[in-house]
Amino acid sequence: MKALTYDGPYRVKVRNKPEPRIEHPQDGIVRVTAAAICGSDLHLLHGLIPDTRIGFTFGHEFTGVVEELGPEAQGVRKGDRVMLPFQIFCGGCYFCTRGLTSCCESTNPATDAGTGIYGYSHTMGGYDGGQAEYVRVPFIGVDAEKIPDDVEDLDALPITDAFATGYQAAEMCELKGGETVLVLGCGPVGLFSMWSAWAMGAERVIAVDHVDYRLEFARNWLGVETLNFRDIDLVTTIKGMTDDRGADATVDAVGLEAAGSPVHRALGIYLKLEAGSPQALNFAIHATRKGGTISVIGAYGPPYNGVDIGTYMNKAQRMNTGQASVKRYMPRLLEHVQSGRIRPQQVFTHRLPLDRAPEGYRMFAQKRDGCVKVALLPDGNATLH
Amino acid sequence: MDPTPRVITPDEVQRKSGYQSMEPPKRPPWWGIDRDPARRPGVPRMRQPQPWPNTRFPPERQPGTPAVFKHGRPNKPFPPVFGTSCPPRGLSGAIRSVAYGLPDHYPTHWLLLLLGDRIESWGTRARRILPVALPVAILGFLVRRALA
Repeated sequence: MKALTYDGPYRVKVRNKPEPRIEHPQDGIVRVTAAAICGSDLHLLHGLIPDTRIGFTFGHEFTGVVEELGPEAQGVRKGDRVMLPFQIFCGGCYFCTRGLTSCCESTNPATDAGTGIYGYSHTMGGYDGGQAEYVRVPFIGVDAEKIPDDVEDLDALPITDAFATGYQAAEMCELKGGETVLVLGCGPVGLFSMWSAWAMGAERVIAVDHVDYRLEFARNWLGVETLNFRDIDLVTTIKGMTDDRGADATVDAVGLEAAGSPVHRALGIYLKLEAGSPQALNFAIHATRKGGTISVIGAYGPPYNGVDIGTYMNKAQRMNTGQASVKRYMPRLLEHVQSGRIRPQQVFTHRLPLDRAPEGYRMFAQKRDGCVKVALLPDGNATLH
Repeated sequence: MDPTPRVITPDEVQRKSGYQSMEPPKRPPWWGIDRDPARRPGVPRMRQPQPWPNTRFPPERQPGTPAVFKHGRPNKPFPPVFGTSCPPRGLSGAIRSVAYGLPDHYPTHWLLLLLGDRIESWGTRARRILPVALPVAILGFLVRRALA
């Protein structure tokens, strides 16, 4: 089968690989109909996530059709259209039963920090991802969510990660209605955070980025206020916009490749002396009011960062973190899609066949051609619902 | 919680916006649809224990050889399901094996893993380039010597 494979930092290629097989009685094999390139795939591409091996297939955001089932897989049938949460979870361990499927204990020996994730290095379990024609899906009966007939694949696709992650980011802001929410980063997760902040009753939503076309996309799609931090002193401006206090809540939807500090980029990204650049987190600490909430959904690598922890402590802030436990969000987000409140597929500015995946990665990484998000279609449009 | 928080108008936003306000906010028609925390699926974050539908727990152990190591925290059990893509090989595999001998709260664990990544990447690149570059270099050297 054709699959995108990692070829060392900044290089990916589409190659032929052996098709996946059932390796556990609760496994299934899914034929991928659509896979997205996520912003966090770029951290893998840039060699920033430890234990990313040559030949590994990326892709943790995908939809597909069930092709094969293990003898103990229940709840789905061959031919079902399904979407898969980006984490692999068992459904029965301590954390899964309590709703934190992103912390499942049954799928990743490599670290205590996270559960198994499709296509996200051997640090996250060593499971090949969905930027391929077929993918092995452990615990398919528990993890897979059937896509309703009236929902298109490309509308379901962001629910498997970006939409659910953005929604949880807004949820972690603990909004009660009437707050000013600052969202750092106008990538797909940031955009869905803004949508969700409106849905949860934010009074103002202010989007921040340094790429003008993305700010324009946020302004046009969601009607938010926008700031380009290349043009202004971000923290001073935010305080000026909020009675000199700062935002009530801030979402960090950027993570470890943040721009805005040449020193942190040099130390963290080029010299690897810290785990990427923590500049977005530092912006968040300074731009959030005292007693406010910071919601961290951006991906950071291990193990340490130069975070302004003293300011954070003195401002009596609260930080909520965590990967989205996607499965619990799926029914609500599907309801929003089915009711027409959002068409998630509008974030896909580019739709490419799998063969052109390396081009999609380059375009997305270099923020060229107005790229917001890329969908890869292994069989072209033919299999899309 | 104040059940009816005051919502300022776009005009007020403009007036209070100090240094910059790019445009008045345009709240969408569905604004506040999930304002009630009861409509938010992740609230509370830790719920009463309840298995997910179709769960068979504990899962039986996956046969075969894992491609992924267990990190070095004593007493951590190897989970029943694991990835099998790209098993460790060569020098990079040996370095990764040493790295995973340490627990994941040791910075050395992660730095060794990054070293393993770079070595694998350099090795792969060298294996592709050297079969072409080495004969060309030798030929060039011999030609230069012959000419000299």
